[in-house]
Amino acid sequence: MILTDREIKIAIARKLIRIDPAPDHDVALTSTALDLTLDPQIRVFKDNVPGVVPVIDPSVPGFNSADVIGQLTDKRKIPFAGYELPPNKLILAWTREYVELSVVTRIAARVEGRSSLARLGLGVHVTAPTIHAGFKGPIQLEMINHGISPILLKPGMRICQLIFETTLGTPEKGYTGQFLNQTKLVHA
Amino acid sequence: MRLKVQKIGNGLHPNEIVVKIETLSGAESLVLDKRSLDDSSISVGAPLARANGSRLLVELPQEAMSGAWRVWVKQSQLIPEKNEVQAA
Repeated sequence: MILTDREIKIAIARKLIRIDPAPDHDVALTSTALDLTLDPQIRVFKDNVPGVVPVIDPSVPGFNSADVIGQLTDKRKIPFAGYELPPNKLILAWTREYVELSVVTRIAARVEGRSSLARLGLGVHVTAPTIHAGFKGPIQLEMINHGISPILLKPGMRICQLIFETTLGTPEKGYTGQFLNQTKLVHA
Repeated sequence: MRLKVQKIGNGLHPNEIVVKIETLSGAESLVLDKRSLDDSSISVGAPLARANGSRLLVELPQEAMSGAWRVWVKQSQLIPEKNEVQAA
């Protein structure tokens, strides 16, 4: 089931969900989601050299996506005036907020776009919206402009929303020590 | 439980790092937030299964670059969380 604004506030207060910096509940919450904002750091994919088309093979042993993406992209910091995302351009971005879901929690989340930006053609993820229990970090966004005009992105703008859901039961990794046998562990 | 890792580089964001994990099927690399790393280990929760005595199945906090989420590791790769105590 999806958590409502009231349940999200309770989960944050109980430290089942951690958001840093803490959101302004008055404006960041909707009835069933929490808005997150855009970090100034982005990675912009380089344009191909005419006649040269690199092919990525993720099945190669030792494939290191961070290295590959690092070579295919340039690091940028969005200035106060903003960054114009051209049509059909893919960039990697992050939320300004650090998100942490406790490993013992019965809460998972999904990152989704905001309708006001979606109408302009802005997508904020590419088929990887799930935030698992135990996740720690800013949410990485795979942003692409599917529209016909450049879209101005500014640091701190509301860029996506997190929808929190309760799971049916606790994930196995949230239990303690059942497979440790000789070194049985219990929470203090 | 915490899984021992080795930092091997920086990620794409200034707050990200890349770590290497020794699994029973070879090394896996993983991008993590810096705050996930504490004393060269990361939190993985409780092991999910045990096999052949000292092999434990754990779920990583993020998808590895190979696409793996759950990996078999040696028990010696795991250490207790600070808020966990060992029972007899």
